[in-house]
Amino acid sequence: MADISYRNSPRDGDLAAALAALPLAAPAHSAWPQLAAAFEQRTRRKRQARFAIAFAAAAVLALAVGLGRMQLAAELPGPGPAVASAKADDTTSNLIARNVEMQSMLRGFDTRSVPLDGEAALASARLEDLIAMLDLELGDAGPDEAQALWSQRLVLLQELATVRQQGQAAVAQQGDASAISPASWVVD
Amino acid sequence: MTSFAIDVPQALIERLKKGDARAYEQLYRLFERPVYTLAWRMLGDADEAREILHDAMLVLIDKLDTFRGESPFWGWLRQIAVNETLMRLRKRRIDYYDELPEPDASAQPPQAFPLEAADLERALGELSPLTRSIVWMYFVEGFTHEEIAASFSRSVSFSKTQVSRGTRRLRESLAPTESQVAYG
Repeated sequence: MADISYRNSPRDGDLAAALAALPLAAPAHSAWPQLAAAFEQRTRRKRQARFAIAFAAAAVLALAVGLGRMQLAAELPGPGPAVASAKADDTTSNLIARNVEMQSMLRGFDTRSVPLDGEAALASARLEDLIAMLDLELGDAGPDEAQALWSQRLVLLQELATVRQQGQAAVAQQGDASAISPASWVVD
Repeated sequence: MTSFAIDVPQALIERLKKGDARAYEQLYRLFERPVYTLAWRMLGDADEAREILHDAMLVLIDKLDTFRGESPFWGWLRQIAVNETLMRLRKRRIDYYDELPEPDASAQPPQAFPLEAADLERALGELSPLTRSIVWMYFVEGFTHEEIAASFSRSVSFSKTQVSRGTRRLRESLAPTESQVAYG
């Protein structure tokens, strides 16, 4: 297509300036509420995916460590069992394995679908938030940080189990007048 | 200068990458109007412009990992908004060749007149979405003819022609009528 004879001249600067000076428009209704919901959904999905990968890796690692230990125990007399386990307990792979164990136990709670009393439900939700934040940090953590994070996570899972146990016991005692089902029964 | 040119701290982008909803809201508040205005000017439809705002902000999250920080964040986001808007324009099946009649090459260009905002709004509204989009991208957003041509998968001449025709049409539309000249 041939260029036409009437070209933009420097005097079009007034047009450019006038166009640029037109006021900015805003939507009649903010798009933020919809975006906030979509963002939350996407973030949760990403977190779950990252978490699933971490757990798959953890399970493989725990299995490998378990098998290795069995083999070592069979082949070598080695140091006394108390000394060996004290050292092993602090390793990342061990912490991961215990996290996996505790996670399975919590899933057992979930399937019962017994409501918690209000206070316990609130505490449970807070703990779940803290665990979710740790999971995010774990996604970016190096090996040194990871060990401390897995350890903190284990403590939180243990607290969560206690809170849920106590919350369910409280409902059983008081009837279900004050019972609340937490939004998320499964720790993701 | 484009209304998109807002400096975004790297820390805010890092927080968004880590899934911080408040960082996302902050970015939304910063760019709500620039994105909406761009889409509205190009499409001429408030509902569609709001959809573009929504979609562009979602693309932002989905593609955030691809942002390397080699160019300003606002430029990256603006390109997302432009792409989303152009996709919408393409869906309208605009015929790029039948937009405006060929101007009379021998005619003198219209004179420059004082440009009132309200008149300019009206004149812009009279342009076709395609021409208006290109005029807006060129004059307000500062895209080059080469960039516009690439965005529309067309030649540089196509961009120049559209800008020239759009400019001429705007000036004609803004020119005072005979009665305004007589009594003004």
